[in-house]
Amino acid sequence: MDTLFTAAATLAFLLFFLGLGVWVFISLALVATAALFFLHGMDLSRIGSIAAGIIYRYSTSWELSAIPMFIWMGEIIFRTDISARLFRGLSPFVDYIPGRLLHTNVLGCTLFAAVSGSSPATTATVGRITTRELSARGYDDRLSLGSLAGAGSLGLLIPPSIVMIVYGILAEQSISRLFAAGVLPGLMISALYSGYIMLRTTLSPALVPAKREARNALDFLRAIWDLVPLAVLMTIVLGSIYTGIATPSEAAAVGVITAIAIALVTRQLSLALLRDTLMGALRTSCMVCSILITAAFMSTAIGYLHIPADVADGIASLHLPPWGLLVVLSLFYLGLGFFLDGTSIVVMSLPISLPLALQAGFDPIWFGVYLVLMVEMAQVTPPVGFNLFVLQGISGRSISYVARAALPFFVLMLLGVVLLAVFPDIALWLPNFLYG
Amino acid sequence: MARFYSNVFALSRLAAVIAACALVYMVSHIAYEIILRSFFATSTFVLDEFVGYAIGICIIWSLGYVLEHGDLIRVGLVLDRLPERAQQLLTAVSALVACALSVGLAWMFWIRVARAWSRGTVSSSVAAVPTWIPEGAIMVGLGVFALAAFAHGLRHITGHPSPAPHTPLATPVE
Amino acid sequence: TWDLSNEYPAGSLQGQTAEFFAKAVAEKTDGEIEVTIHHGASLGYKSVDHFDAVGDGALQAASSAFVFWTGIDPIFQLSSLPFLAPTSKDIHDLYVLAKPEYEKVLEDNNQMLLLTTPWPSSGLWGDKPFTSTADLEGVKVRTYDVASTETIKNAGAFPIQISWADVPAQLSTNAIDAVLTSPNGGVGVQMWELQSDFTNVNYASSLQAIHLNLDAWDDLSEETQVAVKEAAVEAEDFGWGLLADATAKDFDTMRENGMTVTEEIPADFARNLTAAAQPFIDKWLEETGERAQSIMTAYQSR
Ligand code: NA
Ligand code: NA
Repeated sequence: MDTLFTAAATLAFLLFFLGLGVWVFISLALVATAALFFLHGMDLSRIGSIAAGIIYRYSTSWELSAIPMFIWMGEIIFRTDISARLFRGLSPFVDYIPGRLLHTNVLGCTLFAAVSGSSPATTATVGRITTRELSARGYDDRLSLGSLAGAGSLGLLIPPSIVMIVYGILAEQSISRLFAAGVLPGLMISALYSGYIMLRTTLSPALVPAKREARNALDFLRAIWDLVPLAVLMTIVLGSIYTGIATPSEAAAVGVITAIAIALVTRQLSLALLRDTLMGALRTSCMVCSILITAAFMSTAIGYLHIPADVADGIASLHLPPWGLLVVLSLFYLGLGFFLDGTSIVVMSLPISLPLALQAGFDPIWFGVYLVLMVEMAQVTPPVGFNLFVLQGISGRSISYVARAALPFFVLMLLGVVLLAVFPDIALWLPNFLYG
Repeated sequence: MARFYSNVFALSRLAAVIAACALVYMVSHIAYEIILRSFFATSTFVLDEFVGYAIGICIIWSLGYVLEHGDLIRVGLVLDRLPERAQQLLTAVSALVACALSVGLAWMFWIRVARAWSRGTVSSSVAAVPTWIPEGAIMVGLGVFALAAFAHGLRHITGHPSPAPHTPLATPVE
Repeated sequence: TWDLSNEYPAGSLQGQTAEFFAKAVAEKTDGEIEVTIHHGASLGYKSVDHFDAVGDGALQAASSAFVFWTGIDPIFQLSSLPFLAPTSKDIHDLYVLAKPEYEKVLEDNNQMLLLTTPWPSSGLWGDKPFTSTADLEGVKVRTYDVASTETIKNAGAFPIQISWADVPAQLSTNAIDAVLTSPNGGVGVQMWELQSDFTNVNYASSLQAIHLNLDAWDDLSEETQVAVKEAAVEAEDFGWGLLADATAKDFDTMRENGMTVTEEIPADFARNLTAAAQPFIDKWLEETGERAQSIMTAYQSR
């Protein structure tokens, strides 16, 4: 009962500050402070000491560094003709697929997910490149933003993935196996998204612009030529990871340098371009990372209040059968997802939920994939959903608009979880095939 | 008053330029590290540490600049339904709260800086960087943001226009 | 209720010792003191942060590895000096000699040492056994601190420092060839999927301490203090007991998964490695001063 009150009160603080229109990153810090002060009874100097310690640790962490670099890379693509070329190049090829260029969001995020281990980086980078182009071409904003919110979180499921590494270390599972296990579920989710886009746009054709006239062979050749710059960029970045030249965390820097080199070769590089892309990248990165930093502080506060541990303990005492456990755990994770970010959800609940899951007979690798999916869902649920914040920032739409746009894709992820539960081999087949 | 606002913004912009340099530095250090590792079988041995310092500066030092450009996210659910003046006052209150919060946090960092200085604490890498330097950098960044937030709040009470050029990050084509 | 932060997973040796301590405290104080353990850095603190977090009272207690505290006070380097204390008994002797120094540094920073347990000694994971200096030549080894980096460099290999999270990917692409870590650390991430050999070079064992905020300690009644002390002693014994068992069990696990374990290295290779470590040890002795010298003299003449 106590735990429920504490959780409800924390959520009330959150809604209060966010509702007043206090900046999100300030709101999160205020919620943490208020929760520790009123609910835990700490004095201000102890709270301050915790805040400074955690904020220093998190704001100077290597893990955070890939985000601004990837965003800078996206900014260079955005401000050169690489992005316009991408859409020109893809147009003729997607003409016969319902939904046409809307699939660039899903495809782009899926591809980018293979480079980046974090979800805000994927959403911000791909979103910066696609939202304006799609909107300018007359594609439906809501479908475009929703698919971005959903597909942006694939960064966690498709390797490399920061959350999976954290899970692997804590659960003492092989990270290579976990990475392999994420591939098929990731592709399944992106197939679900693409299927949904096809269905929606077939039912309401007004969501996409009118089709262009017939094309000839030359159009296709020109289109392929237009795709070259981005293809080169993706090949180099992916190649640097899969040959081991760069670690996944370093690939972002490779991406920036390659993008600058492409701008140089295509004669678009100028001091103005560097300045504009840098300042643009700074603004998006600061917007994203400031929230991530104070969210870490709020997670710490919630950890001090023992909310996740107590609830997980409560679940343990129910002695549920495997299916019941899975349903209750899913509800628990969805609830945590309202106000926590990905990694925190995993680290705070795992010491209790993992033994429970293992006892109930779930495979630890499967459970890792399941957890990552739950974390992905947390990225698109309000009030604290990072993909929603990122998309609000780059589209200028309100958070409620973005959240509603993301809802169908949230439901599709839920469907993905059900499929994964019914057919565990979706996750386990590939690692078993690769590693025996 | 106008002079105060434009001076504070100039300071925020200067801090943002330094933050941008930190971003350039991050990319350069990683590139250098990759070259050392691939071709010379050696390393700087301080990559994650130094890139860590840079990302801290990159984010914290640009806060004021980004705030004045209106890029920091807030939820408009209630705000958008209020009359203009009420919106301004609510923004002012939020900004002053943000100012108080970062002053408090900067003070907590000052305690850390002073202790690291007197104890001679260094990072446990080959570089043995005195930890008061990066902690001090975060403290200064928080101070700059506190000042920017204060000016932002005051500006919304007096109804003074923003000193930042109007260049929205989001460029929706309507 | 005390909050105790631990950077490592619940199932690790450090996690088990912390759990044992928490249970012992609850029993001996009749539930008056309840210790909530936050495993896996779930509160957001790493070992390096624990020192001041506990001193300031942000945390009442924490379980921390000394290797991350070498920048706070160089004395914490002692327990992880390479090839200095090869056997479990050596490690314990060195700990007993240095304990007053550790306690003093912690006390100067408003905290106390409750108990100290050892890490299993690190060895080399790789695709071949390492039994001579020639085997090390040109091998890219992932190291974890200044001491190991300099020692590996002097031994003729190429040390690389990358984050632990990047290790599996770097191994599978052959960007690194070997990893210096404990049997326990490698078994934890099922390293046999990427490496075929473990060579027990007995590099160094480090110490892990559970430390308590002094104000939290002073708040206790005398009776409770005695109970907590007792619990700490029992947990310390438990932790030292884990060491021998754990390493043998880890070797078994490695062999079950098809790895080759080289438990002993030839004496001349060991001598070469010790020589490679000496410059670092000498430098450390000089920088740390008289207190280090006197511990070292006592250790060598015991
Ligand atoms: Na990924
Ligand atoms: Na959420």
